[in-house]
Amino acid sequence: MKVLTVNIERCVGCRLCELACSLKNTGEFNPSRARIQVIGFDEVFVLPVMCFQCENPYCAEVCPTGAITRDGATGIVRIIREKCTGCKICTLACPFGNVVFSSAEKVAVKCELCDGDPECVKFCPTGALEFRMADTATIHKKIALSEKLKRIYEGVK
Amino acid sequence: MGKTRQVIIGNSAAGLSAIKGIRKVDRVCPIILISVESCNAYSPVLTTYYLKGRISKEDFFIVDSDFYRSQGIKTVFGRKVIEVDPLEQKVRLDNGIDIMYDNLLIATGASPINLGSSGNGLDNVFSLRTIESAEGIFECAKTAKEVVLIGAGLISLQTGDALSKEGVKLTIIEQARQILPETVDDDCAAIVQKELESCGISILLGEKVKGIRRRGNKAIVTSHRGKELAADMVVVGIGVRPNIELVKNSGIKIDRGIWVDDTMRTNINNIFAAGDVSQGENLVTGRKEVLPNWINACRQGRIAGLNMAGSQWKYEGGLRETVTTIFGLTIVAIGLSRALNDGQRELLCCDSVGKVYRKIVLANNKIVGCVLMGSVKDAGILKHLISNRGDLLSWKERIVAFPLDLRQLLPSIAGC
Repeated sequence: MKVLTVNIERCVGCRLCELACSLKNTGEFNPSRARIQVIGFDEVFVLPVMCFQCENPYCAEVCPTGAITRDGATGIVRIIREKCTGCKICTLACPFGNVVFSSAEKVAVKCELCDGDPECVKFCPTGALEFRMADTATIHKKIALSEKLKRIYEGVK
Repeated sequence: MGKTRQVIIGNSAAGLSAIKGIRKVDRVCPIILISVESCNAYSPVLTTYYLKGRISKEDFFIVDSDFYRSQGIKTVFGRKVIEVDPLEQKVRLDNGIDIMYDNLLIATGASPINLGSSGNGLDNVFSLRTIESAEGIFECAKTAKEVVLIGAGLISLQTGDALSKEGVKLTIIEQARQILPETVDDDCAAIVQKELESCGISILLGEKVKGIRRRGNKAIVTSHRGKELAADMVVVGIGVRPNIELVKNSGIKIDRGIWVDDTMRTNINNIFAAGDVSQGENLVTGRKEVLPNWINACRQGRIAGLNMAGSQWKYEGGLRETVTTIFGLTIVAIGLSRALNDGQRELLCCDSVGKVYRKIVLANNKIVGCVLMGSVKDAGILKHLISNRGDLLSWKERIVAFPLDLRQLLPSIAGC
């Protein structure tokens, strides 16, 4: 299973991911309709946020039409448009605000990892967004953390 | 495990979630599902979407017959449970047959409150809850020119939204001084009311309905002040009442609903209750309340199911929570909609021209409720801040402002 990972230190807040996402998913260059959004924290740092594809999705649990499903093999949580009535209960259930109602499409929408080939990753110029195997993703994180600790340690020395 | 005989009464949000909960832990134990309706599970939530014509009758159903088969469920549909016997561990059906259980879940839901005897037997007086009632309204609406909605709660207004069209005169009669009295505060209600009135809907507030009678083909609604409204169709939407008749005199503790603890157990250890029929803790008020909403039913049902299968889960408590779109306005109400005492404070951000209204109710830096209209993207985040009792510190002034993406609060929610 592959996951979308974010390296905050590499993100410069250029928002190319938002444009790539909205073009691929809505046919428009319209960041407000993107499934990924770059959030700025007091100009201190920026963080791209998208659906985490939860193992036990809050949104799927409450959907009254059973329109939200999780693909066991790929881990992708999808909204079946034909089944979505636009009741918005899922938008209330997601603790992260990652399912939103699209007034243009009249259904709830979220990041569905472009069916396993995320467009945002292709356009991220700094490599802050990556799409990789879930297990190696955590190893990379550990390596990055140990390198950071090494730098801090050398700084103190 | 494996041998425990699980009996579930009720085939909607709580019952279905309980099945999934049980099967998460125990793949083999026998599950018997009893439902008064003879069809597969469907969502009462969707009835107003059906009236609007957004969905067809087939779309009502959450699961198909394959679901019950694949989960190994024995279904007893079209039968009502008339009695629960905790001593003998059995339930009696309306055809006299007894079904034995080891664990029992009561998830019988709630029914619309009717107006007593008045309006009974009139074929153009409805309340909206079941597929059957939705079909009745749908048919009647084809010819109705004058429609009276009794009660200005969510279901009534959603029904009004669905029925509102060129050439139909809609009147809403409500005994409270505002519309949506159980949902939003009076300021927000006033904005919504204005919108409704601009769509040509008449709203009578502070008027109690005394009775409904027939005159020719019309139903005549009389208010306590003697006002008379003639209607081709009347829809009564004055709230719901838990379906607790089956447990009366059984020793199961009831108040307004069936009393449950945080494991969804009633006062009897192997009898659980969940969903609209139950009365469990409201995590904002700390009191036991009936919280008839879909999300609460799903959560309670799941926890009941997990515990029936031998797990030990606790529910953090439910919330009054609602999201809906009526007449183009999207409204979210979670927890308290107004400050109730001196210890609580309200933050308000309102733009009545842009039809945006955001009220946050705070108690000691913690959010205990909100009413959002127009700008609702962060509703899920606010909801989880309320249920996690997240401390807002310096963020509180920003939350109420708009447009602001509350995902900025992610670190405080994720606890990092």
